[in-house]
Amino acid sequence: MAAPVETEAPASIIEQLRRTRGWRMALLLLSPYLVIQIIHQAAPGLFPDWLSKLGDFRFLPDWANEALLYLKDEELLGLFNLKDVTRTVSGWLEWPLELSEQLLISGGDSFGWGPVPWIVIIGLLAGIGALLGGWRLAALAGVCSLYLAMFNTFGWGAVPWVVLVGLFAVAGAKLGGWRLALLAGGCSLYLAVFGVWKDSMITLSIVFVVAPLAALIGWASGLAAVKAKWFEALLVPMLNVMQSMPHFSYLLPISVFIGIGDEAGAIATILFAVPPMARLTILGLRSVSPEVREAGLMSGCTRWQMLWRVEMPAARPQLLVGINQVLMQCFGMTVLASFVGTRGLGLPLLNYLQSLRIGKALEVGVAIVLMAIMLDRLGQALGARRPEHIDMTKSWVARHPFWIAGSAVVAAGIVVARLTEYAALLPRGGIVSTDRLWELRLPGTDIVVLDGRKGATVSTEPFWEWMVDWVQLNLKSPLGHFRDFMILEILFPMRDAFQALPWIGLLVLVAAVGWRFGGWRLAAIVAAFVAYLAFSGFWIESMETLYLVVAALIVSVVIGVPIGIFASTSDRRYASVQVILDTFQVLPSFIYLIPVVMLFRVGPVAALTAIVIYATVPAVRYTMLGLRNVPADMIEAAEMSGCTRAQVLRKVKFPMAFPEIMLGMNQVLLFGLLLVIISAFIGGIDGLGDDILLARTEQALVGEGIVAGFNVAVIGLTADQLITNYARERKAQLGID
Amino acid sequence: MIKARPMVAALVAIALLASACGDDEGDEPAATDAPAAAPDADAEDATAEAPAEPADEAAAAADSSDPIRIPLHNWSSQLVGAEVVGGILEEAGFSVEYVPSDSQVVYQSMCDGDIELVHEVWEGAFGVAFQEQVDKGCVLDWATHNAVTREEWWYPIYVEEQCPGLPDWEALNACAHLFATAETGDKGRFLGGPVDWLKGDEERVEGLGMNFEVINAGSAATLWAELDAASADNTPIVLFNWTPNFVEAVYEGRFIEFPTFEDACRTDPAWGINSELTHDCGNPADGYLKTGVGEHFPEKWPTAAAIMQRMDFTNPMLAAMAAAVDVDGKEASEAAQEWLAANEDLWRGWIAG
Repeated sequence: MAAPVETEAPASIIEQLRRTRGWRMALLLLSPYLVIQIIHQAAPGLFPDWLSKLGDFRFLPDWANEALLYLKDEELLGLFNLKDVTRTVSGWLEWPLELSEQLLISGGDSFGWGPVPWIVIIGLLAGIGALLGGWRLAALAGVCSLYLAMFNTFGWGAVPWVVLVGLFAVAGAKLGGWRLALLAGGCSLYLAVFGVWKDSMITLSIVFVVAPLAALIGWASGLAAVKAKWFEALLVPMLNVMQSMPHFSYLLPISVFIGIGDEAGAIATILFAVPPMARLTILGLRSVSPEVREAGLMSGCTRWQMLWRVEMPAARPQLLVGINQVLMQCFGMTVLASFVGTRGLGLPLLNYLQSLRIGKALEVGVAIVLMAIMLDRLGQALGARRPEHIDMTKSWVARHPFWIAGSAVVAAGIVVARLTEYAALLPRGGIVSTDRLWELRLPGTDIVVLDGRKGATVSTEPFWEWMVDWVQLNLKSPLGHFRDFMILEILFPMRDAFQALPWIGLLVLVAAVGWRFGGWRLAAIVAAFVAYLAFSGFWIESMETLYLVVAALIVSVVIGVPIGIFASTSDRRYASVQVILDTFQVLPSFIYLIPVVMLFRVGPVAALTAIVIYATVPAVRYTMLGLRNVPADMIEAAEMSGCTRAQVLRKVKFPMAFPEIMLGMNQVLLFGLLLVIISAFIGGIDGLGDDILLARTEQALVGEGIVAGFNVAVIGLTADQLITNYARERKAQLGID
Repeated sequence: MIKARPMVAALVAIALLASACGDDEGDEPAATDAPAAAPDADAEDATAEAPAEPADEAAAAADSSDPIRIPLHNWSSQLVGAEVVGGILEEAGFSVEYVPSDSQVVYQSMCDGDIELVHEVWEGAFGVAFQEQVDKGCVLDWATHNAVTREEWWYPIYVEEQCPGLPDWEALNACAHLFATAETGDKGRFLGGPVDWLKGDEERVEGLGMNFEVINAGSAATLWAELDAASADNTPIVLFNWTPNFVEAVYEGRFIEFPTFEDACRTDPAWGINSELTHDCGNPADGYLKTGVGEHFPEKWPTAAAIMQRMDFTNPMLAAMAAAVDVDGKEASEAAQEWLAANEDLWRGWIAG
């Protein structure tokens, strides 16, 4: 079915064909598709309708619905009900969540939970600390929980904000010097003075539970996959699907099987944070060089020692990236988790947006970003630490300045917090903009950039209000012309072209490309994917979604690749662009849904803009990565032979980095697919997102929502398969890895 | 970095095992009698908190001491109202817990026993999701508020200058070109509510033969974003809106007057000006606002259920709650406290019965 033109030819010719290059190859891959299109256009009589559009199938959604109902209400194998099991398991999360929340914000009146006495909890926390970071972390966890136990015993409530800010600063100083101290202290101070402390701490308390769990599960499954082939064969496709299913199609089954509340959000977050960790663990362990392993063997390592002393340390860079991704995902899920009842920063953010208080929403969003960046940088610094020389002639005090500073902060903080409630929790209620105590204006203008509010918190809200007004007055009409042009000249023609595509045409085209990069096997896989889309009952919606994502992909690449090239040229630029990328990856995308609607009204241009903002991030990131990973000797050789800088870029760096950049395109597409669903909140597009949102209204539509979500995943997987195979082949040709 | 790693890990494994076993013992009996799992764990907290509760404990004597879970949605009157409901129930001696939740999914959650009550069930927006669960029997149609809700096409007041004859729907249709945009061609653009609110606008456009195209916004927030942007330079706009709502306090405007709603309009094509199609009328001008509760709520908390039945919100109350947040910029809990302080006689009456 894949490439019918060639089926009769003997194998050797096919193999030869597969090795052609350039425009001949392109023509060859296009030819089956062109044949179909020509028949379709020129002789519609020869082309049965069902090859172009299948009827309105509903069997997949119906199956999905019935399966869901069955799992929910019936007993599996007559033994147990899945819903009870999932609810019991998620119930186990309840007390760690509660423990961490009591520590950070709510305080508590009893420290022992149910059958577990507090001494066991302290031991457990210390044990987890030991596993993850050695005796120091164990001591820290132990002291923290002991502290909590004492705090509760005396009825003092949660940790005062001054203590936490101080501790973050001290940890920063210890791990990364004064710069990191400033960063960590500054980020946590922001949470307090901008009046988002309480919700931030709820979010943070959930991340404290979820992130280690997700990292642990991801790490363990990655490890198992490396050690057992069959497990890898099972795990990798699962990870693929998990990562490309849109968040929203998870949420409904989650509300059925887990219920709503903090646990539901925690489980949803774990589901999203595990895959990158598992992937990077696999990658890290695979990339341990054989020499290192042999050295381990020669010194007589047992398997256990091999794992802990040789492989894990060698895989550390990838594991650290994995932990970074876990944190980013955890904070990235904050807003979505609030849709299934998780408290924290998500709900206020959505509420502020609802009443168009963009400035306040942005402040909440920035709080999420700052927490993510702070924890990430602290974690990276912790991971990058090298053993240091300890001068044993010094006194104990001189050898442990940070432990002492930390204890001093805790002691002083507690005392101050007993004296004034301002040090325990800055009173909120300071969000009323009419309650301004003072204002800070931009010099020489009327523009207020910061104001002080009741309860000693501050806000930048007036500035953003001014900004929104200014943009609406000055940019709305020029952008209106741009919007009309985009819709009439580009987006609608493109949409019509995608809609008119017969499914069999897309199938042969995709299969031909698959055949080129991965042989018959890949051709069959991607052809099956397209066939699934055609039979799912959501072909039109899938094409609507695909066209918007492809349009966004093009724009993201046009914007992102030049930025990536620019940023890769110096370390300083690289570092600062990295911060911007992290910001946009974690900043909840809901925040820019509203401004883009103000500028472009409800419709495809607004959606496209929102998608591009988010999807440009991987385009820049992977371009930078690719260009920076070009071997230095190659660049040197090119420079020696007299290449100009432009030539080095064009003839050496870019071709060498191209496979990596293509992997970036893959990520752009996946990011775009996730956001195209979220942009259903903008409206005006009849894609898969609408079906997923619609599934919230009626149980009878849940199946449709799940199938629509699966369609999104399948689109992502098709591109993923093609691009990774291409990149693998190309990298092998270039001799880089 | 560490020498004793294997040993530490082994210790942790033992600790984990030990605690896991401890867990099982604690959870298993609860897990077998299904829905009790979560409330059971909560019960301990509730009893621990009980002594801190002020008085009125006798009132709740027959009631369960589990917290009553009230959902928080994403519009302001509901957020204030939820804390008002919660405040009243707490005053009556109950413990409450607020759970943020999606306003569509919440009916499924109430059916599953994860949420006890929804005090703002709008006929237009949530009627379908609510009725589905009521028909199943796991959610009870518990009380109807005095407040009536109206959801209809709406325009900001400055549009009247550009299109004389408003708010009549035929006048609107006559100046459809004013509302045209690039993607709607020469048809007017009507910005409808999210698709999941199921408003039947397209059927109405067809039924009344209007020269309009319906573009569905994805969320309420995007409706307001467009309204805000249009009002900045008096761009003509006609969009979906409802009352009671904070928008009336911020932007002046009117609902379009369509042929008056009757049930037959939705079902009988012969009814109304178009004899071949249904939906040739407006939305009901007095939709219900109800309180829904989970099926076990009245057994488990009989006193609270009685209070919920007496609780009755009016349009001005809801509008004031919304305005306190959206216009005055108060926090929902702050606004709720103020409302409770200002209306004490009223809600004491609801408690006393």
